[in-house]
This record gives sequence, structure tokens and C-alpha cells, in this order.
Amino acid sequence: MGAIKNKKGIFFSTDALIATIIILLTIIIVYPTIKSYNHHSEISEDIFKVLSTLKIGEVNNSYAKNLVSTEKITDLNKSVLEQIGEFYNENITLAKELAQSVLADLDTKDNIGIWFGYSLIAAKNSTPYENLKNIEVETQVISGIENQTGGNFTGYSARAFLSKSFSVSYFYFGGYVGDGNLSANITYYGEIKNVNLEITINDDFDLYINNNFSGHYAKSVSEFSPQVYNISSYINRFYNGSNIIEFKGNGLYIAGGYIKITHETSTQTESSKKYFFPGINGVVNIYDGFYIPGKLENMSVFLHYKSNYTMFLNIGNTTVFNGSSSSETRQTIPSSTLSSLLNYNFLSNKTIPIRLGLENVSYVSNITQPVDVFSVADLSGSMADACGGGSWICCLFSGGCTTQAKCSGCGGVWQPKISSLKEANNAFVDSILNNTGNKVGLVTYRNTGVYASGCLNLTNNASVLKTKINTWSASGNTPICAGIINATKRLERDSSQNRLKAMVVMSDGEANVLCSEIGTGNAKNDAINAACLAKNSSNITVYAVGFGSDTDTATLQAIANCGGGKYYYSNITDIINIYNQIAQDVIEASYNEQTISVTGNISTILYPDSYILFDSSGQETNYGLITTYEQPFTDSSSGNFSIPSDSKVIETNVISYSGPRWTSTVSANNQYAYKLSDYGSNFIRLGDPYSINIPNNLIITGANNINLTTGLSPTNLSSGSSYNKIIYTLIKNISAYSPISDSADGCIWNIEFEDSSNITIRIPLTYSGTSECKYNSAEKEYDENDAIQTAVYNLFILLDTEPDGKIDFKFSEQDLQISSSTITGIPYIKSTEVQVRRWY
Amino acid sequence: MEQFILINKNSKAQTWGIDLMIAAIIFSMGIIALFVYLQNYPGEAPENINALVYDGNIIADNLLSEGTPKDWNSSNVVIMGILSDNKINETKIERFYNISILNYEFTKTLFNTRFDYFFFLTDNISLSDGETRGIGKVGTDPASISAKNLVKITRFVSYKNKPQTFYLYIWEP
Repeated sequence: MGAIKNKKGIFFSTDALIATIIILLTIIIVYPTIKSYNHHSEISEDIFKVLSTLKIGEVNNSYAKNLVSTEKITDLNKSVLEQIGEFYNENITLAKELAQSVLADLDTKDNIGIWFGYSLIAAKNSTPYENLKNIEVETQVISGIENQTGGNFTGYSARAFLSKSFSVSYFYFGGYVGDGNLSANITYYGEIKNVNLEITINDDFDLYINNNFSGHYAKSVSEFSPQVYNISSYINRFYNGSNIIEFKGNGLYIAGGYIKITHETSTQTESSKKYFFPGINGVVNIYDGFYIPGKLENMSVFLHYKSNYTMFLNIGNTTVFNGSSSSETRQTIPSSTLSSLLNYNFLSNKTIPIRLGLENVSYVSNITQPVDVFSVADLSGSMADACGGGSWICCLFSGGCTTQAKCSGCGGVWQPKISSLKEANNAFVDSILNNTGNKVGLVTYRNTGVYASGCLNLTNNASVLKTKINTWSASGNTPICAGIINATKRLERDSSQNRLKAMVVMSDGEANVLCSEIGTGNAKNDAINAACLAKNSSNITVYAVGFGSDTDTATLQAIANCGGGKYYYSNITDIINIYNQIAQDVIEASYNEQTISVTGNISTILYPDSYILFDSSGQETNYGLITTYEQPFTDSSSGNFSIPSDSKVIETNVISYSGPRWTSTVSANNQYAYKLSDYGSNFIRLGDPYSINIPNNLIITGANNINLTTGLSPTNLSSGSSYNKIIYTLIKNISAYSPISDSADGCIWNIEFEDSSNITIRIPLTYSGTSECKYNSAEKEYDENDAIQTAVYNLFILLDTEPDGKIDFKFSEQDLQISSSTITGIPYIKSTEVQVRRWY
Repeated sequence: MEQFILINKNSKAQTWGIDLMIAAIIFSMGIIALFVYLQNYPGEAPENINALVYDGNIIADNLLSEGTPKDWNSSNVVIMGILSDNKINETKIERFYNISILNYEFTKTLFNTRFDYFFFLTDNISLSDGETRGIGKVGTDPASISAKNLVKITRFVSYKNKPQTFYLYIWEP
């Protein structure tokens, strides 16, 4: 009985013990199981993305590379997934090895496997698939793969490509083309489709296209703001080939702009090698430039002109032509002449500024800086009028050869040096003071220093100056340094910062008097250093004139170099011309801007068949589909554009609306593509290209940055116009394919182009059905089971570079070529399913 | 006999009472053990772990996208995605690196997370001036992160023309 009672006594304890054990088991086993929740993973989808993205030809995998090198893989553009699929059909062992090799690169503790249909191709796992508790499956269908149990089917494949498209040709005007009636020679080939005119022009004008009046148009708002003129209604007046476009009005000038013609052409392009000058009937005044692609081999210039005034042509900073003709003249400058004047290597691969203008006419700047200039004249004894040669006995007995008559009578040559100097200085005074606001001063030196009686402070009174000049007489030594220092002091004292300061230092001999202010211990060096000091400390430009056969050319040349001016040598007969030339230089240097007006009735003609012809080597001929893009600047000094990796740059131009200023520098990706100061600091003698080419070697795939400055001199720089653009032309070889598909019928496409125009076309042309497809910014619609539709859609994707649903290349029905083929006996199914499974 | 029976009845009641007490003690110990275990179980703060997993997946999804805008930069970035055409874009990853170096907290703001993170790939990440093991909290050594709770997100991505594993560590500082 007692035993029975005791058993009853542990009933609750046993019960509690069992309950506790259950609780502990729950803790130990169930709870952790519950908590080992496995979050959904994206890695299956990742594997699809990676294998569908990587091309078999680019994948960095030794097994795949080996298959490529042994030509077991021939189509390098297939994705890794497609290649595995192809092997799956042809050789499942290769499929498995390739897939396993690719999976081996992945580091994961997850169990993953790739199935094609019902076949496991590759796996990376630590838990056998048979032991899985949970599984995640990502599925993708790929076409063109036959499952191994199926048979052969008939499929269709198509290819779409453009045989030709509309090309865009630009015809650029120079940075400044004037003044008068203007014309341009424009040559293109193919049927014209569109024309645009964008220019800055100073006045209202009539437009003539091939001698046909084509409308009257208003001037542009300003020289920095181009106006776009709609002349599309006159498109039928353009011809395939050469065209003359004329702008007629009152003293017209164009400060940058272009005519853009869209026309049909083949897909081949060749770089132009002829620069056509614009035609001008009025005052020939061109600031422009042209680009020499590759290494310059030969160059010739053909000028067709009529001008009573001397016309000059500067290529870079070199004058290659000076001439005038009162009748219509055709002038050719051959390469043999140009090659002796120009450094062809320096000009290669560059945009070269060119300046075509008139010499010896009175240009007056609209915004002229007033000039203060001193004539620093040598009145040393050697400057006296004298008789050269002749019999000294004759002279002795005739009372000295002190007149031209006595000198000639004794067989000598009369050398009226100081007389000529006076005459030249009088002419110089007239030239300088011809422009209101200018002043001239006089400093003379002889004996040991400045000859005060011959000096005069700055004045605009020509008669006072001439009276003083006529009192000059020669005597003693040649203290050049003293003359320069004295003129410097007078300019510092009497001139001001907003006036251009210059001096003309003339001497007929060697400096032979030291200058205590400089103190080099050498009279010549004292003179040179005085000129340097004048330029560097007081911004005075120093010109130098060597007069007569005893001139110390080296010293005077050094004075001009250090003084920022020019050196001229003169004999007695042309000293007046030299002083006039210097007066012209001084006035030209005072021009603030290109824009000028002309005094007097000048009529000169440059015909638009004038050109510069050049041969250069090292250029490639490009084949493919060519597209030209316009990218506006982001602000007045810079712009950006991008080159896609599948395209090659043919040409990049920066167009600069510099107005009356010069485009001074253009850089691409922080490297100079154009630097005007390479050709000199006096911009007024240099050209100003409106279109500056960026050499292809400065352009990179991806983002590119362009910077531009304009200026009046190398040290006077500012930004340009916010209307500037980058115009670049790309080429790419475009064709698109379809996968093997059910059908190859086509459809009626509605397509939107980048200019927002639309076309509706049948593709192929023979399509007679009613199916509609769309490729526009609003929607994209086509049947993926139709090979032609798919190929065309894939082509449009390639042609939509932005991509914004608008196709960047304009084309017509006839341009789009379709080739389709029926393919039988090929492995093909619609739905081979690929799965990536993850289990745990 | 009656007395015996009485005594016997009392003894029976005491036996059951003691048994009940022992049972109560055993059961209480079981309950206490459960409580203590739950208190000390590593998943003591499952909401934090869930938050880490959630944020980690969001960051991984963000990074493994093209981003917003597609060609984002430091001044206009909304979503810092480092892919283009399903491949890691080296320009974008360098921009991400530069931003994380200059302003790591800003990247956390973009990812909308309060946790620290560090991501790396199978290979070192190439930069224009060298390479780095990974991007995220400066000075992180992925092999020795000291954290109360840490979650590792693993994804796959194409980088340098080969499939690579994308690791994202995210932890509670």
C-alpha cells in the first residue's frame, strides 16, 4: 500500500519534469529553428544579370578565353548565358564546363545552380540539392536554343541597317567678314533636305540664293547674339554642287555664323582641303581662319580681286601677299613661295588665323584708344645734311659742298639726312594727329644728352610741332639712352593710363654716351635697358628706326624687341614712308576691336572663288554612319559634350561668337587647341577664326570639357558668348539583328526624330499589312516575335544616342535597308527555360 | 483502526502537497530557464537585426542600380547607383568613393540609414590614383569589424569583365 501511495506522491513532479523538458526542447531546438529565418536573396537574379550582360568575348575567364582561342566560340558578341545555351544544344559538356568555370568565380556560401530545361548545368553548393528545405527559383527564357528532346523548326532572322542617311554640312563665316555686300561659295552633293542660316550681322539685308532674291531680313540683335533665319521656303533654289549665297545691304559685316545644309549623301566622308574666302564688294576686311588636318605638305593661294588699295593677306602672322590692281585680277601664290615664307610643320594640325585687309587706308576704330607718341630723334653730327663722295679738292675750292648743287658739281651724292628726317617727322605728325584725341611730343638728343631746344611736350597742335621740327640741327655725339629716358619721363608725367603710349627712336649711328640712370657701363646696353624699362615699367611701346648705312642695327633691333615694338631700317629716300608705316602701326595697335568704319570712298572686290588650297597627309578616310551634333555652351566660357564608346570622332569644331573681339584661346580637356598669342601679341594684324577645330587627339571617349576665352590682346582676356556651340561629328558602323523569330513580316512604323518631326513609313517597303509599330518619345511598340520588327527596333535603339525616344539620324524609307532570311533545320524553340535556383 | 486510517489519510495529503511543491519548483525553474535563455539569445534584438537586413538590402539595391539621375554627380545625386548597363561603372564607383571619403555621413543620409556600412568586391576596387579594398566607413577592415549586430549582404555583379561577389557589411555602431 505504501509503495502505491508514494507513486501517487510523485505524479505532479513527473508531470512538471516532462513539462520542463518540453520547454527546454522548445528552447534548444524549435526556437533557433524558428529564428533561423532566411531572408529572400537577390543573388539568383544577379546571376542572370551578370551572365546576360557579360559578352563571351570580353569575359575575363581563362576557360572562356581558351574556347575563343581554339575557335570553339566564334561569335564574341553573344552573352555568356547565350553561349552556354548554344553549347547546351551542341555539346552539353562544354556548356557544363563553361558554366561551372564562370560560377567558380563567385564567392558565396549559398547553394546555387543553373538549370537549362530539366538539366542541371552547373552548381556551387555545400548542401546537396536533394536535402533542400527551401528553394528560390529565378527563371528566364532565352530563344534560339533547342531543348535536347525537341526537333528542328523553321525560324526567321533579319538585319536592319542604313545604306545612307542625311548628312549635315556646315559652311562657316569668319570671325569678322566685311564690309559691304557679302557672298559665300557653298558646295554640297546630294539632294538638299533642309537649310538653316545662323549669323550675327550688323544691318538689315537682302538674301540672294544663286542670283534669286530670297527675302529681306532684319539684322541680328547684337554681335554676340546670333539670329536664326528661316530660309527653308527657298530650299528649291539650292543646287547639287556649287552655290553662291549673297547678302546685300549697307556696309554689311558678319561677325560669325554658318549655313547648315542637310542633304542626302553616301555614308562616306572626306575631309575638305579647300578654304573658300567669302566674297566682298566694298571694303575687304576679313578676320577668319582655317583648319589644316594632318601634316601640311603643300599649299597655294588663289586670289580673285579688284582693288586700287594694296591688299594684304596674313597667314598666321606672316604676310604672304601684298598687291593691288585697278582691274579684275587673278593672282596665284604657289606653294614654292608659301613654303619659303611659312613653317609648314608649325601650321600642321592647327586652326590657322588668316587676315585679309587693305594697307594704307585710314581705318578708324569705333572704340579707339587715344595715342600719345614721342618722336625721339637723333641730332648728332652725323645727321647733318652732307655730301657723300665727290672730290674733296673740288669741295675745298668751291667753298665746301654744303649744298646739293655744290655737292653734285663735285661729283658727290647729296645726303639730306636731317632734312629728310624733318620731312618724315612732319608726315608722322600729320598721320598721328589725323585721329582726334591723339598727341605727339618731340625729344631730340645730341652731344652728351637731350637737346632741349628741339624738344616739345605732348600736343595735338600740328603747326607748333612742325615749327619745332624745322628748327632741328645736327651736332655732336649720340646719347640714345638719354633720349629714351627723357621721352619716358615726359610720357609718365603727361600721359594717362587709358591712353596708348609709344615712342619712335631714330638713330643713324652707334650709341656712344653713357647714361648714369641706367649704369651698365656700356652706352649701347644703357640704351637697350632704357627701352626695356620704358616697356616694363611704364607700358610704353618703343619702335626703332635705323637711318642710313652707318646704323647700329643690332642695338636698335634690341631696343625694339625689348620695347615691344618693331624695328625698321630706312635709307634717306624712304624715311618718310617708314615714319608713315610706324604711324599706321601705332594707330592700329590702338584699335580696341575688330569693328571698324572707313573714311573715304573705298571700293574693293574680293570674289568668292578665291581660295586657299592645301594638301595634308595623315588623315583617315572614314566609312560608316555619320552624325553631327550641336551642343550649346553651358555658359559664356565653357561647354561639355560626350563621346559614346561605340563611336569615333571625325571632327569637332567650337564656334565662337566673339563679336568685335578675338577668340584668344580654346582648350579641350585642359589642353590648348588654339592659342592666338602663338602668332603675336598685336591682334589687329591677325585673323580671327569663327570655327576652331579641336584635334581628335584631344578628344576622349566619355565626357569632354571645352573652355574658350576672347580678348583684345594676350593679357586682356574675357569670356565669350553663351551662344557658342560645340559641333562634333561622329561615325559608327551601325546595323542591328534580330534573334531567330516566329515570323518576318514588318509593320508600319511611326518614328520621331530628334528635331521632333515624325514620319510614318512601311518597313520593309513591300509590307502590305496593317500592323503598327512605334518608336517615339511617348511609346515604343513592336512585336518581339517578328524578326524584321525586332531588327528595326534594335537599329532604332542604336540610332537613338541620347536615348530619349527620338532618333538622331534623319532618314527616309529608301534609306532603311532590310535583309531577312528564312532559316530551316536550325535548332530553335520558343521557350527554352533557364533557371537559377538557390536552396537552403 | 479509525485512528490508523486517519493518520494514513494525513500522510497521503502531505505526500501530494510536497509533490505539488516540487512540481511547481521544477516548472518554475523551466520557466526561468526559458526567460533567461530568451534574454541571452543572440537574437536578443530581432528588430535591430531586421532593421540592419532591411537597410542592407536597400543599400545593396541602391548601389546595384544606375542611380538617379543616371549620370549623377556629387552635386545632383539622389540615388547613388554604381552600375551602367548592368556592369559596375568605374566613373560612378570612383564618384561614390570620393563622396564617401569627403562626407561619409552624407552617403548614409542618401541611403537613409543610421547604421555604418562598408562594401567591397572580390577584387580590389580600382581608382584613378590607385585602388581600395572597399568603400564605406573610413578605416574599416572587413575582417575585423567590431559591432554589436552585424549583417552581411552578398550579391553578384559584373566588374572588370568578370562576375564578382559584392559584399556589404552593415552594422550597428
